[in-house]
Order: sequence, then structure tokens, then C-alpha cells
Amino acid sequence: MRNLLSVCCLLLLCAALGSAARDENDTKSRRSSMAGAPTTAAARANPYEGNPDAAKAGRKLFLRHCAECHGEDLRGVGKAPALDSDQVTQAPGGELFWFLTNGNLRSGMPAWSGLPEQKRWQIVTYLKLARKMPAQ
Amino acid sequence: MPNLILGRRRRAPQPVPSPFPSRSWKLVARAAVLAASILIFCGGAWAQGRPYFVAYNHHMEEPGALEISVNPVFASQAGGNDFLATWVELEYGAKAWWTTEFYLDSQTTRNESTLFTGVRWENRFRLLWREHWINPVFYIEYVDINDADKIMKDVVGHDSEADHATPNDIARRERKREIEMKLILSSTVKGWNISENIVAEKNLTNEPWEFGYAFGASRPLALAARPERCVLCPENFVAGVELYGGLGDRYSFGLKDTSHYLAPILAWNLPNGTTLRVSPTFGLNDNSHRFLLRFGISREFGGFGRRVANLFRGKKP
Repeated sequence: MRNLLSVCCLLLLCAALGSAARDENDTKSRRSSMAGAPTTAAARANPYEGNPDAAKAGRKLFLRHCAECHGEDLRGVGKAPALDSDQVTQAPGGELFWFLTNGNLRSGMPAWSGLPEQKRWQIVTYLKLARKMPAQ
Repeated sequence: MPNLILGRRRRAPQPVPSPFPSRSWKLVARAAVLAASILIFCGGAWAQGRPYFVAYNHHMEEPGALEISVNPVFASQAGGNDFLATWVELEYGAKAWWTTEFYLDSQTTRNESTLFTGVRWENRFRLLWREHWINPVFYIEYVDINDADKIMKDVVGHDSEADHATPNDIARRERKREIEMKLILSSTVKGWNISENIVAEKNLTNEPWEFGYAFGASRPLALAARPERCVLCPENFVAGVELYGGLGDRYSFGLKDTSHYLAPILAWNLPNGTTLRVSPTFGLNDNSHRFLLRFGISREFGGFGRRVANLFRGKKP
């Protein structure tokens, strides 16, 4: 019986933590998804900044993971926004990286933390350089 | 399960004229080949799916995406016939924070028969909006199977190898309806995924709560992608290990009379979107099967929900 109670308490605790965290983050996510990035995260430097090979690898990853919703041409499909806008290409790399890592679960953008950090930076590099890359 | 055969004379396995592989075995093999062909040759997309067979991490199915997978497990059976149990899994991303899955279980036992053993409906909910050091996920599953189910998707309570020695024609008579809950805690550290699952399962008849655990650790063989398309490059492989077992029940919590398994895992993400997984699994004590061999083939169909919705709206899918 004690074990059962412990399990129930643990589950309830997590549910409570979850709802508390959701409430806390609601205000931030209503403002702007990417604006929710903490300043320290947004200031992180991209280790592949301007690297054409990383951008090519990023394009490969983008086609595998992101193109279904955002389109191969980055112009968005359905509710998923276009990624060739100034808002994206001019955003700090760290902010894009943070957004890619956390997603916006409320609006349907999944968290891509399952991809290794290096691959997420490669996608960020591609998004920043996509306009300058030759069409393939 | 042992209650089923208490008070009855246990029947010895009947001699069967055609030894393994039997007709039913061939039927299962054909179905598996057909399913594998469909999954390999249909167009698909890449997921960031879990490499584990038993443990779960906090990565959810992408919203609107459908992943179909076939997962056979071959087991050696002491005091009975070896078997091949298979589950077919349909995983759908209902929301970015909610994944729902439907399972169809079946098994073929050597020199006995091939059975459909039941269904499961599973739901996973992410509890936090953002990534944290530890990411909790709440899992709840309804299980409607018979006692001949042998897929061993979870090991809980006092589950042991002896449970699977009961002949199919006896085991199939007992139906089990269960609710299973898990608290999934998962972290990502320097390319590694570390997952811990705490399992609580309740048979809806008057049976005690049973408990179990699963741990998993995995890492891609390369963390960065190459610029060119490649099939055998390390970035496409994920290696890991999982450890799982029972923790007794409400009246006898602990490791006594429980079974435990250790399983290395290798997953290979093919460029066409198919994922192949293999896991040789070793029993760690006398209550465990000595050896299991798990396989998995899965394919994700991105935008499935949107295409279906468009069909009903009369738009081009």
C-alpha cells in the first residue's frame, strides 16, 4: 500500500510540476515563440557560422526532418511558417538554435532535442545561408 | 497466470506431424516480409524516434505524422517451445506534446500455433513545455490481451520465463485487461540520451499493482552530419543499451522472484526514411529467458494527418 501511495504521489507531483511550468511559460509563448529564448541561449555562438559544408549538411537534415512542414523551398506548408523570411535569416543563431531545441509544443512545433547539438547547429547554419546557396 | 493451470492437469505438448517451420510459421514469415517491403519501399520521412524496444525517452512523434513499425522478438524457452512474438505499432503524433499509439500483438509458438493475442492503446504526454535537465513524460496504456501474449514489451511484477511455457491452447483462454502507467524521465547530455522509466501496472480484475523499471542509454555514432548523402556513415547509426525488469507487486515489492534483462541495441536510419533496429537480449537471472532477439523495422509517414484531413475536405492530399 505504501508503494502504491508513493507511486501515486510521484505521478501527481510531476503533473503539478508540469502544469505549473506550463502556466509560467504561457505568457512568454504568447508574445513571440523565438522571443521566448533566454538571453544567454540567444547569445550562444554558432560553431559552424558561415561554413558552407555545414550548410550543405544542414540542408540534408532540413530535407529529412523539416521539409514536410516547412516545404523544401522554405516557404511553409499549411500552418507551418515560411523560414525564408527576414525574421528567421536575421535572427541570432543562438535564438534559432534554442527554438529548434525547445520547439513550441503549444503551436505544434516539435522539440528537436533528439537531434545531436551539432546537427541542430548545422540546420541553423543552413537556415541562415539558404538564400545564398544555389538552388538544388 | 499460474492460477490458470492450478487445479488442472497440465497437458504435455502434443506431437505435431510437421515440425518447425510449420504452415503457420510460413504465414507469419510471409506477412512479415510483406510488411517489411511496404515499409521499405513506400515514401516516408525521418523521425527522431527512440532506438529502444522497451524503454521510452521524451521524444514524441511529430504532430500529424504516422509511424508504422513491426517488431518481432524471438525467444528461447526452457521447459516449453521457442516462440516468435510480434507487435505491429501504429504511432501517431496527435499534438507536439501528445503521442498516441495502437498495438496489435501476435505470436507463433514452435510446434503449437499462431495466435492473435490482443491490442494495446497507449498515450504519452509531455509534462513540461520546454527542454530541461530531466524531461518528464506521463504514459498511460490500456491493454486487452490474452495470457498467450509473449511480446514482453514490459516486464513487471513477478513476470518470469515459466509464464510463457503454458501451451497456447490453455493460455489463450484467459483474458487480461490492464492499465499500465509509466513515469518517463529522460535527459540529453552531450549527444547521449539517458532514460529512466518507472512502471506501475494494474490488472483490472482483483490483482495487485505490479511494478517494473526500464533504463536506456543511447548515442549516435557520429554527432554531426556529412554534407553528402550516405547510407553506411556513422551519423545514421545509433548504439545503446537498455536494462529492464520487474520489481514485484504491492505485497512483495523488491527483486525477489523477478526477471531482468540487459540488451545492447543498434539502430540504423536508412536515407529513405526506414529505421532498422536489432537487440540481442540476455536474461540476467534464473527467472529470465536466457536469450531474446528483438528486431524492429519502422517507417514514418510525415503529414499523414494533414493528407487525411484534405481527403475529407475534397482537396488534393
